[in-house]
Amino acid sequence: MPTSHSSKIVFILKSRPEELSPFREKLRALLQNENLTEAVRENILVAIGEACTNAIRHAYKEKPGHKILLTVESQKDCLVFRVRDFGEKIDPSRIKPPQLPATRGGGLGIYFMKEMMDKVEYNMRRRRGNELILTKFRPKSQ
Amino acid sequence: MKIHTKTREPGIRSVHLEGDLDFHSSPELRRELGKFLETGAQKLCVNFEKVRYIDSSGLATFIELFQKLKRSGGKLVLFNLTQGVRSVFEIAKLDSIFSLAKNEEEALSLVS
Repeated sequence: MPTSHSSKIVFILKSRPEELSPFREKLRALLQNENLTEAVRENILVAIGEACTNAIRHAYKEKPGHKILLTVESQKDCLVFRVRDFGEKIDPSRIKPPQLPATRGGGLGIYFMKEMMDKVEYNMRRRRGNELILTKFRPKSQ
Repeated sequence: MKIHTKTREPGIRSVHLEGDLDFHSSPELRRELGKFLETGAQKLCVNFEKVRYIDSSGLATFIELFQKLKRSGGKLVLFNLTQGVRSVFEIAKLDSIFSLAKNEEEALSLVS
């Protein structure tokens, strides 16, 4: 439901692929409370899932036991998702856009985030690890 | 991820998936689908009715399967895609190269 005040929820997950599904269910339940269409909710789940998968695969090189923080901020006009890891720094300028139609899975993750969200930014000021900030604006009629 | 298979018609294998297709479940699915190909299966219909979520790892599994079947002269048809899953295929522009059927009947006619 639309909120007049900003609220913030933090999820913590470990860098293990098996954590993705239970985490997604928690996020899905949270998004049910937002006045969004099912298609938008599912797109958000894919975009955030890709961001967390990238943290596991690329920042932590699939090594388990490391922390990923997801902060969900519900604002009046948008939802802001911050995916924070403390692994190897990713240089976003080196990420090439995928060939379309896709001929492989690689490179699709960041493309999905950009297509499914309204804004995708890397917080380059973080000295350690990565922070990806993904924003979805609420429809103006809400 | 649960995977059920049955032979619908001679030479056509129907695969029913249940669960999310993500970075965790995709390797298992890739192994299972690989086993079908090793048995000589050339025509596959995959039921997505009970798949609510697919990410780029899941898509990669089907891109590989599609390419392997194409090289060997086989066919792949996906059917009963939920709106969310279909949207992921569309954003990756894969709806232009994959056969996506509404239901099993249409899938069987496309794969035959």
